[in-house]
Amino acid sequence: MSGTEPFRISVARGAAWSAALAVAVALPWILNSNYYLQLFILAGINIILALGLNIVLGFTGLLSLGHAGLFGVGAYCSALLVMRTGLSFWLALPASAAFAALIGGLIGTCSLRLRGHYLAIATAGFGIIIYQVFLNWISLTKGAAALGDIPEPNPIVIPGVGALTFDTRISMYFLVLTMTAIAILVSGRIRNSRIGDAFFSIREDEVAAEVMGIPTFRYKLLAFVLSAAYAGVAGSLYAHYTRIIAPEMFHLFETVTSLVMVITGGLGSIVGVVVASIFFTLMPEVMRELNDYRMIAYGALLVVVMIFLPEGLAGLVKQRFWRGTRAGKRQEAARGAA
Amino acid sequence: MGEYLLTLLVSGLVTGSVYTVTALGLTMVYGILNVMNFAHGEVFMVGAYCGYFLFAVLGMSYPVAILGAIAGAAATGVLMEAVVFRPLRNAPQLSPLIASLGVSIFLQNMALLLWSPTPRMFNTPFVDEVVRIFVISMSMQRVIVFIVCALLIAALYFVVQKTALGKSMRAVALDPEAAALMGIDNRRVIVATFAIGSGLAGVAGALVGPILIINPFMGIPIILKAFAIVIMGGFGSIQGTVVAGFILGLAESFGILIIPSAYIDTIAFVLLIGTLLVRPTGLFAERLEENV
Amino acid sequence: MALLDLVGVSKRFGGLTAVSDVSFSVGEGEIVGLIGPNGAGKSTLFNLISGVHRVSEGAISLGANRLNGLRPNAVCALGVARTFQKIRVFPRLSVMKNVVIGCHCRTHAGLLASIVRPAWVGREEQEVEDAARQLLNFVGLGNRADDEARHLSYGEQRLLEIARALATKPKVILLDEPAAGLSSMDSAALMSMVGRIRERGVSVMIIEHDMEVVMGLSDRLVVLNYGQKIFEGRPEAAQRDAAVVASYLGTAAS
Repeated sequence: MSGTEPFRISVARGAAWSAALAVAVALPWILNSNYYLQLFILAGINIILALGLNIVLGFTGLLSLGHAGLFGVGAYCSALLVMRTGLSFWLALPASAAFAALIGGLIGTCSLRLRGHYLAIATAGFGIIIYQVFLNWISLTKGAAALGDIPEPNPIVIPGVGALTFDTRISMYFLVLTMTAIAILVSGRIRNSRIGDAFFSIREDEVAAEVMGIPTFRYKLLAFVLSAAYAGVAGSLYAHYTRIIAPEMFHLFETVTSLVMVITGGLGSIVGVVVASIFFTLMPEVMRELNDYRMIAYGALLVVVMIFLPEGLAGLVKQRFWRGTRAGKRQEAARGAA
Repeated sequence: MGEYLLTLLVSGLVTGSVYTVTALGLTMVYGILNVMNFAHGEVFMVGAYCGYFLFAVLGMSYPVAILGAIAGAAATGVLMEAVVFRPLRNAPQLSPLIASLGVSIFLQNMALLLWSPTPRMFNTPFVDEVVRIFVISMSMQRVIVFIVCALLIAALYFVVQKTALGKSMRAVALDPEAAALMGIDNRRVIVATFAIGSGLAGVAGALVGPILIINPFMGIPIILKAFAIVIMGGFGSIQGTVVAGFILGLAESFGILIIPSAYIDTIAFVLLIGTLLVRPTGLFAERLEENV
Repeated sequence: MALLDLVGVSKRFGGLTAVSDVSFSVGEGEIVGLIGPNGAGKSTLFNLISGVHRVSEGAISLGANRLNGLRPNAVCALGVARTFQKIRVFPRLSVMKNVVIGCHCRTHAGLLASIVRPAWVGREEQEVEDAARQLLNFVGLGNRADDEARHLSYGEQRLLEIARALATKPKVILLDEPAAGLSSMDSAALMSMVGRIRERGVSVMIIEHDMEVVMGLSDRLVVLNYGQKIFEGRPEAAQRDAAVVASYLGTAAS
């Protein structure tokens, strides 16, 4: 992808992301409200989570329904490491990501020889098993009684300046913002690379991809591991932000929320997923009175998007954009002449 | 002790028969459309609620309630086919799968909204009536469940193997284009398949309603087990589904001896994963290699 | 000197024997045509060589390397590329991207390198892009690089498949009915392109129903019928061979 894009579009794209970053950095002062800042912190965590699902579903075309379970693995792992062993958050975060990645790898190894519906069901099954473990291993997770009093991230001591603490919303916001930015950057790098090419080829036609030399099983497993790592990071941030976690937060239903974000974004588009994640995090809060209808709406939305807009918003934008290009105009002319 | 084991055996057969009937509905739809309908569990739920409303609320007799459940479930299935699956006939496999997941979520939460999360108790007179079979006793409800399910399985086998409709179904499942060329109305066959498959799930729901607790999310464990059964038995294979359904029912029943009851639901997954690792095409399906 | 070698290859699907005891080889710099009536087992043979199906019996090798039993990507890495009878381009990816993916097995950037992007990754990507552009020009799709593959015409998609297959830097390329759906003008262009593929040092095996194409191009013909090889030799000799003629006339009459 790099190099095949006209230079002026690369510049425009870079400018857009920079502007978005500037707005994001200034956001606490623009919003001037703790309540809304809270929402954006959650939006950031949801972005990371959805970007993970995007790698496995949007890039590689694998319907993995165990994503919320891996989110939970990251959350419980991080919380328990910090609370039970006294480990610093800054080590617990990568450790949880690694552990979630390991679990994701195990699930993938068992499930990935299968395709389509087999994979969806197997991963959903694993997700439910993970949930059952959270619920029933009470000595470890406290089960439905919830694991509370999770400490915030340890302060960072900057020599000569002082300690940066994380007991305020603003500091948590910037932590999450940094992690979200890194997540977006890494996703973008992967998408535009040889690795991303392999993922996309598997999504488009797995048989052809393998015949063209792509080791498909290895890449599918990599997609699983990467998406699990993302979920693990999101989980760790979530646990140390909300400070209390319970099994119900990591049920199959929560996977649906991420699924809606990825599907609406469409085609593996990173921008699409980011926008959709922010939208679907803010919307339910803003329209709290309609909360009863939220899941109904999500269900209907999945159906509607699949029927009318299978490539999501990204596909819609691509169509409009493409019609304006030289290639698009040529196609339209050819169709008109035929 | 022997009595206890015998009770478990019979209980396993009863459970197995319900699972089988439900899974058969799922297999039929898969065979015809190549799509696993995630919302099949919700059709089961709709059947249970229909039975409940007709019997416990409106005071109809139990047989009428069951017929109503069949009708309600079949209508739901037909509606699903028309609104969701037909437009996606030519879409890549992932689309109807995700769409069916959407339907599932939609129906669960509609039920939640309309009928509240309060679990309903659905008491037929048969639940309390106890019957003695040889040395064991169990509720009449379970006996009825088993008999009805066994009859349905036999009836389905007859329909699929011996009737014209059954032949059409098998033809469309094998090769829709050829079937159409032979004068079969594909659309009608598909709708009929959905109706019958959903009706089966509805009956299962109405039969089992008195034994389980009726709530909007009761379909979730059902669908996952139905999937497990269909995969174990081999996609599209009726014999395989029957065998796998009873195996699961018996495994869950005897599993109580070994596993804490909270984890009973996981037996289905263990069996499923075992099957996937050892023989992914299932017990009965032939090893098909895709020709490119 | 044999490059691609098949010895006693058979394939059974359940009760059906699709390929039965087929042996032949393709030498360096050769163009070998594989013909026979429909259902004779030609595409199945390509599937066996490329690793999509496992052989029931027999051995397939490329030079010193055994091919049967390997997964398709390993077969490709060893040097066998192919196109498909039913076109299998990557529909929603650009024409350029389709060919770039063909280069995947010859490049090395891993996950870490792709994220960190040291200088050599950029260089490798540039090389890949240049190679891809050159291949697109070779097949005549140079001006369509940015279009989505699914928007190409049928004939153009066939050319794209060829470019993508060539991107894997094969020693042997298997073309499965490349002329199907092409006009006679395009067929002629295709014929000369296949000749130029040979000039690039790639041996060719081609399944084709268009007799003009196949007779004109092939150094040798292998004829299959009902999964068995009934003839191997020069095209002119094939036309005179009784078994070959019977297999075609026989099918036409029934």
